[in-house]
Amino acid sequence: MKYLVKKVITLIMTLFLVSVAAFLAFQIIPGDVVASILGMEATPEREEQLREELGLNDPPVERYFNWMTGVLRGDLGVSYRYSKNMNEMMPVAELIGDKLPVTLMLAFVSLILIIVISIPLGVWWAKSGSHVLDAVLGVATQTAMAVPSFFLGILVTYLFGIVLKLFTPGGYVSYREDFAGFLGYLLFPALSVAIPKIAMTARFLRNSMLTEFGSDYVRTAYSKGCSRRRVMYRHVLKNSMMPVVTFLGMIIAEIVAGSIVVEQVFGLPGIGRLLISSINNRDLPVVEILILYITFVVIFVYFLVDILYRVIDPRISEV
Amino acid sequence: MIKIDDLSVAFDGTEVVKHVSLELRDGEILGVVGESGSGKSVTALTLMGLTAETARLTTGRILFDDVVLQEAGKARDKALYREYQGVRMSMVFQEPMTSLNPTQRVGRQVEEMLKLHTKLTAEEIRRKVLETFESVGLRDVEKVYAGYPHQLSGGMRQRVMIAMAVILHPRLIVADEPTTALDVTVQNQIIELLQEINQKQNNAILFITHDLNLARRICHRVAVMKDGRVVEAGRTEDVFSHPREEYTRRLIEAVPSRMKCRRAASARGSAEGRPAGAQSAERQPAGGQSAEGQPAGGQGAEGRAARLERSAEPIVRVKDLSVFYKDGSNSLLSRKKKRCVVEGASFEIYPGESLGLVGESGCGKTSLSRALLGMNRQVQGEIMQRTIRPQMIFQDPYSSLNPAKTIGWLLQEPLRAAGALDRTLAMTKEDMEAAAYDMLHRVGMDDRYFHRKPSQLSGGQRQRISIGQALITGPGFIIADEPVSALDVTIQAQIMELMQKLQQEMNLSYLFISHDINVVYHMCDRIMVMKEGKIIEIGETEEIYNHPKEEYTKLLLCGSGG
Amino acid sequence: MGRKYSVKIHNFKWNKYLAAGLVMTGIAVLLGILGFFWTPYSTTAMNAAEKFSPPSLRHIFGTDNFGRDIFSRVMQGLGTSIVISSLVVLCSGAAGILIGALTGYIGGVLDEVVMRITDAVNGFPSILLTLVIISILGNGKQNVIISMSIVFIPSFVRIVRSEYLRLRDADYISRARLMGVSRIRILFVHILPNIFSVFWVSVMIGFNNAILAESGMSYLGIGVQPPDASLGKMLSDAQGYLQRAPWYALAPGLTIVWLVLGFSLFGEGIRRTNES
Repeated sequence: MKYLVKKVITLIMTLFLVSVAAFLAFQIIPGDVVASILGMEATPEREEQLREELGLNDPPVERYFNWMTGVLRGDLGVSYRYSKNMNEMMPVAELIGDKLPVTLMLAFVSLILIIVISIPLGVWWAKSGSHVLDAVLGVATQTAMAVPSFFLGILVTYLFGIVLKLFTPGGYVSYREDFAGFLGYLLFPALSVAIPKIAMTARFLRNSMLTEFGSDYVRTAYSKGCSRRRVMYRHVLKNSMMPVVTFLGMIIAEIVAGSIVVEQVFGLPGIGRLLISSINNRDLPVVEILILYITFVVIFVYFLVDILYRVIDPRISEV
Repeated sequence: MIKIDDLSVAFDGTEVVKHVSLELRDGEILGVVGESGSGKSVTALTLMGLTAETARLTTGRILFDDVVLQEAGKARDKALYREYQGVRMSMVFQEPMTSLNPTQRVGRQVEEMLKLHTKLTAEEIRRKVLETFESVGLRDVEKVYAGYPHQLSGGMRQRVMIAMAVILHPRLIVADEPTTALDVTVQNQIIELLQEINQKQNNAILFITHDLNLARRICHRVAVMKDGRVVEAGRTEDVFSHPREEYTRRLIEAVPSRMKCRRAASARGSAEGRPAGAQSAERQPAGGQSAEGQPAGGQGAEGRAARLERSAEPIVRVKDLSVFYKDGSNSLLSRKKKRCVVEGASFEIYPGESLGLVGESGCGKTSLSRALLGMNRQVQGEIMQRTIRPQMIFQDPYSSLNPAKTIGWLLQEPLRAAGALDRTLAMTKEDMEAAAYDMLHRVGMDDRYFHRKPSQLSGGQRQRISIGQALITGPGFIIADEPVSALDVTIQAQIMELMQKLQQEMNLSYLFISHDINVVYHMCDRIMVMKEGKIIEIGETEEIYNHPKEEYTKLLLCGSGG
Repeated sequence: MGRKYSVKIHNFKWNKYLAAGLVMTGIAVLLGILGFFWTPYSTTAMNAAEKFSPPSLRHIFGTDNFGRDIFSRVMQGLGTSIVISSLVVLCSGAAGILIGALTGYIGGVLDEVVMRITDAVNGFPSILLTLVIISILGNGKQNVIISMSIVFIPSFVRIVRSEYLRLRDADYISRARLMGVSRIRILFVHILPNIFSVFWVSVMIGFNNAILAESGMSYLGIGVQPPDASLGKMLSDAQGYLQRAPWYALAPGLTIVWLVLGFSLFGEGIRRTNES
């Protein structure tokens, strides 16, 4: 319990530091953005007016607190680039709208695919003593790990979309209209994100199991008269899953990143496309909020993994 | 009951066990003794059917009550073995720390034995496990039952392992160095427990150990193994009092028993009081690698006597020294606690003297030596030294030489460092090289090694280089932290020989740290005994050996079997 | 007997990973460097007559929508990738050694602060972080190199630091201290040669990640801009013609795979030599 409290405090502190870093990076370092917003229409009066409007004349600390309280209340600021109409600026919240769930759902489906496929694969691989299988899986996983997810997306599109016609490339279905159809479409981008990670996780689990098989307690189990099967499932599996949990936690960030890239390939209306275009347009408030969102998600997942780890590993549960 | 008949085992084509034949009767304790790598553990694992898949029986067979368990040329019948493993034969391993599954409750691990081999109900199983826990001297059995291995001490884990091994009353227990990883005090209890089980249940024990004294104490018969062969076997007393083989004799001599020391001492009377000269004469190394220089036997009497004059000023004087250690991780969040690891130590070391420091692991030996070297600044008290830079020889020859450098470079580095610190000591390149070659010869190695890297050297050779590196700047005072305990007994003798030779040539003082009181006995003029951070006894070697004042010292002495 | 600190640089053992990695990266690097000086066809000359011709002896990777030779363009893209990732690995590796050595050996508050930052950065997807920095610095080849170098420093710091931490208490380093060897000399003469075997593995991983990040960014249209050729940009161009000319996408894609696989085999090979 004491541990949990400590962990929550660390979590909040990390989030605070991240927000400060984001604020510094996007609002202080880039300097005055007013000129770039107004572009050709810039006049000293209009610049001054806009500066006042955006609160750029306040001291940095005050600006941070104004911005942060706004973010906490759901007021995410306004975009520099997009506008609703001639007189009204575009709120970032509206711009992000329902894009975030698409990206998170993609990442989540990918994670499920990784867990569901890689664990049985890794166990099966460790179990089989066949040299041929060993070599085949070794080469296959090594290669799969070398394929960048966007290229994998193109391969998936070509194979499943164009050759096998299992889905229509570009035929995205919104989750508001047809959730099953949405998931059906999401399966293919998720596969593109997941395949390299599946290869990694399966290799990791297999190596972990083989290492555990060499440990002393396994010899003890055999000396009791356990069969190999029993040793595997009763003793080795749990111990070798411990590092795999940490490993899965570690690749969460990469899964999110992969999702953002793969969105481009499949034309998914997630935050990835918005992020890229905002970066190209130097629309910093939008980038800032997106990065903050992604970081929050990643940090929170790390937090959950840490708690989960403590629950399953008796060695550290009481620290 | 058990018959190992002409057994040879090979891993990847190299035989590590060669034509071993052993027999074991009910109720008998058979000791298999040998140095590391002698094949004793492989023999035991083969008997238990636990060797890796890559191991092959090249000759012979193993019989259990005339049933062939394994035979050369045939694959191991795992199903047949499973009927024996646990039920009729069980094993206690060396490392109680790692031999239990870290993520399973201790009770369940012991229960597994009964679940596999009996048809008892869950309640009966639980009762039986608790009973067995009590019978092996565990207290708070319910707590042990529900606990995880990491919550138990080393001794408790080994008791759990023994409980697991005896719960089905097997006729054979194989114990592979069951006490090596434990502290001396716990070692005794475990040995007594095994003896008690042997007497009560009348099961046979195959006891594997490198510790001859231990084997002598508990085994009915012993077999001595070397390089995969049994070189000598017989009743324990016969083997020890009349060893037939040269190798056995050397093993026994390399680790002197207390009795033998007494004999040596009384033979020469107490006038000189130090049998070291005679000892080193006996242990003249067979290889003669370090035999250049004067014969080792001659150095003893006069050399020692001369050095023992205490009129000289001490080279090191320690007064009321306490050493502290900061606890806790290096984190901003956790507070640092200061823990006292050495308390009020006072002693002197005189020029040309060897002072022995003995004690169990964790008693503060290493902390004390680090404080003397100035590596730990958390100290209170006084340290006065007449040397500028005392040097240290470390235990593990594999980690004490920089693997990326050549021997020549390593021997010159202390000179370069001294030159950089004090311009007046700076030497030319040629002088340094000459000094390095000279030191190479002094430690008994030839020019060829100058350009080699440490990984091309054996453990003993590395330790020689280590010694040379420590001595090349002429420090006068050396701390040797278990300098021979990582080496095989025969090499140990050679290294101790070399250290004694150099001590005389260069009038060195040693602080010789060891957990092995017998090694200290050979090397040292005086002995200091440490326990829980305090020096509890200090005195002349002979005195400590024959009339230990403290109960603990006695325990240390007989802990190693004397 | 505790841990072994030995390094095997001499009696270097070959293994099949090392050989395969060396051959694969060797071919790619040679082609990429050659691409700066000579390509079989001009990479800009358009040829309407040879639009979308599939791989043949004339054009071994086929031609694109303008009839340009894909193989020639892949050679140039390879060159860009290799130069950028080499510069990135060089900069971040050197910085990593310096920072890792100091923090690992000396420790203290500096170490604490650096480690917090390193952990935070390592936990964050590297491509996203690069994008963040680029979004502040702006597009362009130099900025790609700068931002990737910054992002890659922590991974090197982590490896180097943990090696220094491990070796700091090695007996042979304790002895060097006892001899009175200066701190700088211990850091860079006594310890540094011993971490290279591990460091090379992370250099290979660094190459890997740099190539993936570079091509990923140019695929997204950020980073290297035309007229510099880039594999990622080719891929995104090719995506529109997937149905008509699948080879157009396969050529740059498989080239990336080839290069990454080469470096990871190389790294694996070094790791195994270290272990054996």
